[in-house]
Amino acid sequence: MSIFDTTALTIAGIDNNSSTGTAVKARSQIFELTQAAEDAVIHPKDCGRLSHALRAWLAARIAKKAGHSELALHYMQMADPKASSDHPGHETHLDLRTLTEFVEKVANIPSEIEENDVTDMQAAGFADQDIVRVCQLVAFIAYQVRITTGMHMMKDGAV
Amino acid sequence: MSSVVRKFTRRVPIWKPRVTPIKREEATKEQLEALKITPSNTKVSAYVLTLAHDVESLAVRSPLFNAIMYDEGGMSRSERELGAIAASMVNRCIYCAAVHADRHAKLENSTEVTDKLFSEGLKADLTPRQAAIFHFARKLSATPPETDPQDMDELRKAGLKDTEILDLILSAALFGWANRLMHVLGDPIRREAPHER
Repeated sequence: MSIFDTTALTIAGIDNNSSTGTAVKARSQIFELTQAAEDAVIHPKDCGRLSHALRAWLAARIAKKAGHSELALHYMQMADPKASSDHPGHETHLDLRTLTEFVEKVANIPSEIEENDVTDMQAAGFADQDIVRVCQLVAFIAYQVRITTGMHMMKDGAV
Repeated sequence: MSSVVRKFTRRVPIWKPRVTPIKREEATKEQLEALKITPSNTKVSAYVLTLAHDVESLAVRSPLFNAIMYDEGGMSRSERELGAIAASMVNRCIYCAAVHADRHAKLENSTEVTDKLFSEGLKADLTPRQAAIFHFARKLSATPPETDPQDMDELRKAGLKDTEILDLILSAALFGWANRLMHVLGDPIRREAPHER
């Protein structure tokens, strides 16, 4: 896969022959690793209690709340076909309300996270391993939203 | 009395996890492999042992972190640290802000910039280049991001080349990621001063 086929550069609209593309090529390893990180949070071999489809649905919600409709669409296409904006579309034994509240707070107002947000997840039956997995997912999407937003702006403002 | 640090400081606190880290002696082969590459190539910390719960992410994240913050060329290391500090201030990650303010001060041989940022916040009197970098990273770190074309113009007017702007985007965004791990999964605990008993 060329780095220009990775999610980040496709969504940001960066092509090989642009001035932004030249800067990107000098950091090609970073974009290869960024794609590998997406694969690790969305399609890990060991997904714990968070299915691939549930991860994609959560990622789509985070991207949408961050105002990034293209990235939201990218992830919604990997979610359950029956998913809506309010429901992942399949049955889950997880406490979905606690999970989505935690995900939204970490994604949108991380400055306000307190210890009880983590203990609420533990009380709702999430193992520490799954809490770390959720945080990695949310945190990666926060990163991906910002690199695509920034590079898109960089491309548009190129002189 | 709570010993959790609530104000920005350059004095690096101790990071106390809110979840139980893996035990190194019980680590799987995959976890041991991922633990070989740590952020900044430092010793294995409670933080890294916590992230080892999700070994597939950790194995990718550590080399990515090192590439964004330390690869040669492009933006200077201290200016990448400024991007990291801006994100950490927006997200109120006291621990990340302390580590990277300390690194910035050491790289610059000066505490002037981080003193101003921590005492004056958004009103800090920075050079035009520092101000363009800090405010772009700060606005990119908001949710949703608040950067606009004028912020990009300010970076170019301040003399930043494309390679430097890309490194700034990457370093600020990386801390959107790091802050959501460090600040969520643990508390910054006050470190006792050497002269204290």
